[in-house]
Amino acid sequence: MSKNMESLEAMRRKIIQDAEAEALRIITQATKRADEVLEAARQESSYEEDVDRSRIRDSHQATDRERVSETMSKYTALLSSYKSEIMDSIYQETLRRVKIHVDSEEYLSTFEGLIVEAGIALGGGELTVLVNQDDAERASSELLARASAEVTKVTGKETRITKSKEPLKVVGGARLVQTESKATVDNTFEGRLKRLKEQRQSELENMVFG
Amino acid sequence: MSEPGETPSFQDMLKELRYLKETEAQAQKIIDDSDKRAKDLVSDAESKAAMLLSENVEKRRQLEIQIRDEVEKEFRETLAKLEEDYVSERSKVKQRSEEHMEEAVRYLVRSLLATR
Repeated sequence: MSKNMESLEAMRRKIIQDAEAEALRIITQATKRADEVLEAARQESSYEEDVDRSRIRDSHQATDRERVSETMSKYTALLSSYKSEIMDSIYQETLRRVKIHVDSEEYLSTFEGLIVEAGIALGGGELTVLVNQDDAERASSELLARASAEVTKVTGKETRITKSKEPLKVVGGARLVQTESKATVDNTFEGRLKRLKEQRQSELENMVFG
Repeated sequence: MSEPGETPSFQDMLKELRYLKETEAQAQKIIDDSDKRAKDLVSDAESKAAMLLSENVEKRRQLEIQIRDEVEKEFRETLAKLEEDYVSERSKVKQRSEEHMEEAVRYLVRSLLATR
């Protein structure tokens, strides 16, 4: 082979070698880029699956916790309302039995006792007694005189109990008003029951519901 | 072909030029082929990545449905338990109040009728 031919051949080899080197560089770069694209996709996929599981669960559970809490409040309110109904029926039954006592002969001494008790609580003095229509007949002048004397004796203050003409709508008992101070003691059975409910509510509920 | 030191003829120069041009074309083809292969490689990878992400979207959708069902099931069980507890508690309250109602009424009547 001539020298010129050799030089030309060397040039051809160099051109082809350079081209092959460039081709290799292009392929290597492309392979690297392809790997990066796939790796990024893989990472995005696996990351979301892990994180999403707890995120989705947390978001649903948060909503459900609110719904559970609302339901618990609803049942608590229902139970409380049911207990109130029971207590109300007990109070109604109590007043029904008290009414039976009111219609009996023994009531008169109870009635007098209620007037005296209220009079003492007010500290005696000029007192007005309010009662229902039936008790207005029971509150005779003799009974009121006896009650006044008893209050005077206990409080040490001269007491006079007079009957109001205004009738109360109650099962029985008496409401007393001090004329000067307008202080009132409600010793009707409804008033006494109201005080009992307020003062002994938890004791009563413990007795009934344990 | 001309020898070194010898002035090459036009024909020889034309042959050498043509030879080099062929070589250049061959080299360019090598580069073009690799370019094409490179583009295919990246394009394949992008398709696979897109498919992976699309599968992932579907997987997430399925996951969402699965978890929602699980949580809903737990929720229904909790609600059923709450209702069961309420019914049981209400029944206990009823039974106990029936047992102690008379005692409470007597106590109240006694308290209402008792004076000093």
